[in-house]
Amino acid sequence: MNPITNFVYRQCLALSTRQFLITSRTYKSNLSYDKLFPKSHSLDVLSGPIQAPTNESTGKEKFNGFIPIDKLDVTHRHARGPGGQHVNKTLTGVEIRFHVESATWIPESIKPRFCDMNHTRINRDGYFIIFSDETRHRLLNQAHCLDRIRALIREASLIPKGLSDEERKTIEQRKKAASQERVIRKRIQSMHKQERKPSSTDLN
Amino acid sequence: MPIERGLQYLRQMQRVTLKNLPMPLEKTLKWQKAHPDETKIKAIMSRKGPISRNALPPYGIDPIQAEGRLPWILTVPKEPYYEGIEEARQYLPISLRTLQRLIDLRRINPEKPIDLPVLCNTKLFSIQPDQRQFGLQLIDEGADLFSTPINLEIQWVASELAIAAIERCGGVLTTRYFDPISLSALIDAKKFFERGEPIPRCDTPPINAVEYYTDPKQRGYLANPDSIREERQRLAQKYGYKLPDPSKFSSLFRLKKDPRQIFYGLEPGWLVNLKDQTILKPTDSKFQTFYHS
Repeated sequence: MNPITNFVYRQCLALSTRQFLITSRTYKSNLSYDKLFPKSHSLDVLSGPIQAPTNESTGKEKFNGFIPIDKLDVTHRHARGPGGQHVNKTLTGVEIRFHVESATWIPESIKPRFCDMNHTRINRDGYFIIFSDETRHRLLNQAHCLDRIRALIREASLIPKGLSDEERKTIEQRKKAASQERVIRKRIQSMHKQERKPSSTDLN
Repeated sequence: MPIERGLQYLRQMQRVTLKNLPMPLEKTLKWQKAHPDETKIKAIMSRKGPISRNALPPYGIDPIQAEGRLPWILTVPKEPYYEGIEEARQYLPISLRTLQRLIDLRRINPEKPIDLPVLCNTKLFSIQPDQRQFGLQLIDEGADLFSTPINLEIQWVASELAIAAIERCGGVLTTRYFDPISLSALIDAKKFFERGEPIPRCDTPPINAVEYYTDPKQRGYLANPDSIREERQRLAQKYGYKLPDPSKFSSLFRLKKDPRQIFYGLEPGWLVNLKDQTILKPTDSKFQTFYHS
């Protein structure tokens, strides 16, 4: 490391970090953050109020999209497919497991339908398993798994609307009309075929 | 009702003749003379030429003046492969892998804020402002390897994965614009101080960059901190990690430069004298208003 350039950096920080912060805090131009965003709740990027959900929805309410990562069991496994030494050595596949019955972050009203729709992903002990090795990065595979979980929960929460009385009536009417037409066509066809046969009456 | 209208005309008008009565405009002779039909024009005009042969040039070109040919400026083709290259900004890439390597080899101190001068002092990058280079950009190679919390200030980020990789480890990322004069001061700070020039005041980004630097998704330095907080939470939920407790951060992680400030701890307008180890500050009100605007 070049000692001279290090010296410059150290000279600028020759004062203690506290004074460092004080001098930088006192400089405020016309474009300082408190002038650009006077109405913001907090100018600090790390701490402050957030509108997005930060806690899971309790059992009975609608799913708010929040998944508590601590309650999921995330394991890194070997990915499948081509790739030589890289795919053999690095663990870029991501598997996520969680116990469905004890998951409080899925609403209770959705759970039976969710278990029913995804019964192929739930094992005998009641654990929901999902695995992804679509990309070469572990983070992206993890994001892929979570995205699929959210999509499956959403699918389970959408209840089909069902048909109204009017819709049922029209469907029945159309069915009847179609069957009547079919019967007429059948009768015509059978008449044609009977006309081809020699008739039993003698021509005398 | 037309009958009602007719009776109204009879009531109101002094004299009712064929010429007085209002007709639909298109049926008057005056209008028809001014707007001849296409077939009428073709009957009147010559039997030759682009009009009669349905070979008119595109709209905007006078067929009579063009004499049946395209104007010369349209006959020459346009191949704009390098359009806008004079104004295009370049950013040298730095991957998360090299960053982690530099931290492991102790060439960079992760406890202090990592800035452009810090990265240039490693002598791994040669940024040339006169070649339209505006700093460094973060690449997402090595996103799985990266594992230190840092306060990073970079000039451009293209991928969300790189931002997520830094925030997952408990770090902070901001994208910051430096104009070429400020950039030449930052690249080699010692050389700049030896020149004896006051620290420049950083300009606002050009118009085609304002959208980027006010975007919370790119962690722009001119973005609303409320939106940035929301985006951090959104990324944490998307990529599946937990944001660290805000009280555990050291004060150096909350350190952020003013939009006009270039160096941490130094104001624009100050003259740094390395030989006598002093800093000269302007006292004239004219300079003070300029450097604080």
